[in-house]
Amino acid sequence: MSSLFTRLRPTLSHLSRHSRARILVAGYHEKVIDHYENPRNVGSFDKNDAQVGTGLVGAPACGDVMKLQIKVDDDGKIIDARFKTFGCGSAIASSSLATEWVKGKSVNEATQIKNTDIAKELSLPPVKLHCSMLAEDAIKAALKDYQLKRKSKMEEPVAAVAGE
Amino acid sequence: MAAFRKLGEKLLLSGTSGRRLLSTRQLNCWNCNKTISVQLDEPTFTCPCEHHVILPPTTSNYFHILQCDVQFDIKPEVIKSRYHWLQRWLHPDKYALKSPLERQFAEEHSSLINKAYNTLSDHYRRGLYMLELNNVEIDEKDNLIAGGEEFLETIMNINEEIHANPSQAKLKQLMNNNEVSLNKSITVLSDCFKKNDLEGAKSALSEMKYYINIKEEILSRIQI
Repeated sequence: MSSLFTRLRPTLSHLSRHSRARILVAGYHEKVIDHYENPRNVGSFDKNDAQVGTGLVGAPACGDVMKLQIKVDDDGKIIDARFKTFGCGSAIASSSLATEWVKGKSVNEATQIKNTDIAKELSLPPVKLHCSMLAEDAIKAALKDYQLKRKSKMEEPVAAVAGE
Repeated sequence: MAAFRKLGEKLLLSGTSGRRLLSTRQLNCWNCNKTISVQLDEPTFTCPCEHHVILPPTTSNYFHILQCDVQFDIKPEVIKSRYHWLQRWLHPDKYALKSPLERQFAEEHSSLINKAYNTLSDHYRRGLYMLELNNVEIDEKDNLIAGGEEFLETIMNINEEIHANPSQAKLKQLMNNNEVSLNKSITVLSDCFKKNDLEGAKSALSEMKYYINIKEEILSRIQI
């Protein structure tokens, strides 16, 4: 293996840094690598914040775990998003892209994001399609969590009146 | 070589057309053409004729190849010695001077024996293989797990701790805790297979995969 690399090195050194990186990480599309190396919106929000919806999902076949959070303003618009993913490059890229896409969308618009769109944007191969599905599930879970919080918040005063 | 393979296929076909009994199957030796009856749940490697030529693999079930019962609890030392013994006997290098057909069969056996040992010697892979034998698989789209969100939160927290540049002592502590969780899952898995509870086994294996990933992550950071 090392001798193969020794023989390849002179050839590789003539290539630009960009195309060399593509050879060495053959298999991942450059968009995936970009998100992997410079992930957008990594981090977390306080999950108890009424404005925040949290989606926590896992893929039991590969052991990946993904957390996606959205922050929604009073008009139902997603103003910010964060994610934390422990898993393969495709899972990290899918969730990173998902946070970029949900930002600026309304809660209803965000439900329209499909895993196929994520997979297409990142040129994911068929064996990595489930990573984009995980990202879609994470968005849905975050939206559901936010809606549940909102619903219980709206029901609170009613319950108080009924309790009187 | 091609002619030999064709000959082998022809003989194989004549073998499978033999009368099938419940637990045995008849096949014809490619060399002496004698009819041999082989057990379905036990491997037959050679023809009992005077040349003891190698037969093509008669079973692809890993448990049968390593001659142990199809059950989760197996003795690691038993399959290890069985594996070494088989590889000493059937390794293709031993057949370098034999006919191409026999060498090909030795390669097929050797590769199957390797796969069988690699699969059965690991708790996780053995569990998955047993599910596979029962036509159950862990679906990539399947996001359900016994512990639900609470379990995922625990996994998330452990991963966050590992990635927060912990001290070596902290890493070792995380490693020990993870080993305890991993062993618990193995016990659950073993119980599920004893009760033939395949859904339970599936859920235990799903949990195990998260612990295995955590273990690899810790091992890549720990200095021994």
